[in-house]
Amino acid sequence: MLPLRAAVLPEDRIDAALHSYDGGGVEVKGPALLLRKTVADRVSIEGGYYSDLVSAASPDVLATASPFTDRRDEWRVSARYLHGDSILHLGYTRSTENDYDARTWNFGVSHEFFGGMSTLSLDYTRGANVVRRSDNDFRATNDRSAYRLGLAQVLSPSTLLSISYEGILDEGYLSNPYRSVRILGIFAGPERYPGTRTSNAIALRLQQYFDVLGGGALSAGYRHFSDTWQISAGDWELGWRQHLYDRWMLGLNYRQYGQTAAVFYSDDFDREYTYMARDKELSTFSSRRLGLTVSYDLYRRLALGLENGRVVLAADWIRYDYADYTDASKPGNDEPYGFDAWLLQLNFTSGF
Amino acid sequence: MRRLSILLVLLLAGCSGWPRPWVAPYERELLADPVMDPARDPLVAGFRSHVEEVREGAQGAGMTEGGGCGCN
Repeated sequence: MLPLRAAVLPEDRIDAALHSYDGGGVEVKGPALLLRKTVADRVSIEGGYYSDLVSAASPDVLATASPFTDRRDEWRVSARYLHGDSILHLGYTRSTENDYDARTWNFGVSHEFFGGMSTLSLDYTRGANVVRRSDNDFRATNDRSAYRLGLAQVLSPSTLLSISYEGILDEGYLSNPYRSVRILGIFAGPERYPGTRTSNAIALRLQQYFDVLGGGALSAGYRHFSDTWQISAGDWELGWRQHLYDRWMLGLNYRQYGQTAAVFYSDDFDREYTYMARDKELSTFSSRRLGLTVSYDLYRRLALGLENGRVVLAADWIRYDYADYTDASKPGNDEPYGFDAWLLQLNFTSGF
Repeated sequence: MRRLSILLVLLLAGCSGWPRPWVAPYERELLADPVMDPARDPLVAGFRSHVEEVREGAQGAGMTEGGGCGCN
């Protein structure tokens, strides 16, 4: 095998995928495409398309409105420029729904040093979003600035450690224009969130290669999150990937997540407050995810310059348990809400 | 005090030269193995991340994103 170079551009590839999510009265399905091509040895261009067809009949929706369907389309284009041991990255993403428009710009640089054992990366993301209601002329905006700092460190010929920090500032209209809050058991008008939110997240990930049964790797990660809405969250993940025979690869991973509620969240308020939310994503809850990924190599070389083709099937089960959120679509119900969700994905990928 | 002095001498001796890279490029074959690549299937990892972003209050520093390892 040739010595591995320092900074290199990602490989040319084309991906086509189908995804589905089913849980808590919400169904999402759609296709995704990815195309990445290197030009003139120094520049890598990437384009992507992603679509969600959403059918929603969650307790939130059923409590105050009728089930609805929606569609989200996302287009993404980016370029990477290789210069010595550095890679500059520039990207733009546009996402549209009938009641939400998002534009995101991203700029980043990564640099390898210390004989290629360390990679430092810096990213800045700017987002500008427009929030609407599909049944009236409501319109509002919000903006996001995100700063990300990452360090990947080779610890040994089989061990890799990465640390990343991200600080996010959200400003503007951050509520959901459809969702209502409940006061003394009665739905009494729309949510009201603060106009700013500052978040901090730090994550640590360790990967270790093991020379067993043709090669396997253990990954372990932990992330801590906190914000000015007094949400505090932590999640950890363990995963194992294993080569099987010549063409197969199996992946198994488990993730556990938990968070405390935002200071202005309540399932049922005792009176009116300046800020009020009844979004279950801002409540106290925990979740567990168990995922299985199976990958099968279809070909090494094919006609038209296609190479390294494979198909990937991924299935995930997620369990959500809410501590202080109830299903208000069932009158008189005071049991904490919980549900199971299933994710299924089929992905074809090929180099060229 | 004596123990502190010995510790300082050892530290200074250790710092007489910058640490050098101890894993040479030709020793990174295992790090480049597909089982070690968290960004191997970006669409699959991206959909998992998207579900988490939508369903959870926490955001940022996602663990599923590739960070680069100098081993491509």
